[in-house]
Amino acid sequence: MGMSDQPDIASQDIFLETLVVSEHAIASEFGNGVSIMNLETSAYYRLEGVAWFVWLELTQGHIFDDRPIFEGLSADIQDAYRVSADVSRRDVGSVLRDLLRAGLITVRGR
Amino acid sequence: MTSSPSLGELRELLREFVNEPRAKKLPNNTPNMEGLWALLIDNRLGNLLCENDQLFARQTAYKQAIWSVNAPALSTIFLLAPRFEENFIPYIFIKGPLMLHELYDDYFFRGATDVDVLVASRDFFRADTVLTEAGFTLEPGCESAYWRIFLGEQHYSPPTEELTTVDLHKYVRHPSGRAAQSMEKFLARTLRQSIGGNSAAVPTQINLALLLVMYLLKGIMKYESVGYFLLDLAILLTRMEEEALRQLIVEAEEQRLTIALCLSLRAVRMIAPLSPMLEEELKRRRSTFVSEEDLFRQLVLPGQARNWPRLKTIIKTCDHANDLFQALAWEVGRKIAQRAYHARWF
Repeated sequence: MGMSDQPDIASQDIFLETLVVSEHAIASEFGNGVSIMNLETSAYYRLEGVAWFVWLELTQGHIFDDRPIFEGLSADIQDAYRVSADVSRRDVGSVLRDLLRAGLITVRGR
Repeated sequence: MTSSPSLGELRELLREFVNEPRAKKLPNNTPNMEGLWALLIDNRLGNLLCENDQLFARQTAYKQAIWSVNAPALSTIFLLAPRFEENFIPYIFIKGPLMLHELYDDYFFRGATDVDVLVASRDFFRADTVLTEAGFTLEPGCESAYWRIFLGEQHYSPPTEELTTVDLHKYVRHPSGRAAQSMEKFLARTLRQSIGGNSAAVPTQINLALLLVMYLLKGIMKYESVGYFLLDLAILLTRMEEEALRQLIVEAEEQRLTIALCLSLRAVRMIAPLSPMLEEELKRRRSTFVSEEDLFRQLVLPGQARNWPRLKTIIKTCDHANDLFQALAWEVGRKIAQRAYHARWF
């Protein structure tokens, strides 16, 4: 899947209800993170730290007060990790792009 | 030697879990934590406990080990289910992560080292073809008549490390001997469980209960810790509606598993209340050849339980005299065949 196929997480108004965990993603939490497998590709992933935080927010139905998901996650990361807005936006963008690329989350309708 | 308090604590944990299926928090200074943890691990029940400072590293290692075996098992199921269906082979996946998901809503509640799939005897060869075309290879020794005829199973090694070993079964084994007729009933009605956009066939609740009864009996006869199967059965029975329980009693009688069912119910009663219907069934089939405390100990701590001679167990758990004759004949035949196999006669 090429980079041009991925939605631009930061520039588009993607809301939580449009970002869904893939039906092929199966996860198990242990230690200080979550391990996830993509059934379709048989690829395995391990998320810790910020990536785990993002995954939990996505999978536990966190509400972002009608903000686009990117903005909501960035604000929450900023609060939780006490980092600057730039750092949190960069980290969230990176995590979401990686999750999309791995097929663990999808944008509904795509 | 595991102390009695650990056994009592395990029983209490199991009771609490059946009542409220969530991992339990124990205080960090719980006495005999090590003994309890050892007992939980032996019975594949490590996930009954919440993460705990004293055990955290071991709990993480335990869960990581489960992940490392169950993830390939899920990949294997995801790969094979559509292939069996494309080839019109009736099948069910038994035990494994699908059963765990059904009972605990968690594919990773405990480890599943391989994938067990049951097919009819007439489809055994075609199922073998499906597996070999998918890249699985029959393990050495399995091609012998002993494995094919007496054990009724074949083991297949995976082509890649992303998949796992497949155990292909054609018998549902009552420990007193194979029960060919009843096997068909396990395939006649199945449930569908979704997995990653596909779905796979698994046993109905009634058939799952009967399988668990057989697994418990087999555990007794092989002196294995099977507390996990006891919990599985207790959880399942609490979910079954009255009509399903009534059918379970009827099916058990048809499959000559009534005494085995009652033995299992007595064990379940140590950790969960039974419905009035099941209690009534137990009263009708009063059995006192073992106390419930001894039975519980046998299931979770067989190394410290009294001796259960295999033949005596077979005799005590056969429903009918006809079954007893067949069971004894099968047991003798099995021993001869096993010795012949190891002596490489076939």
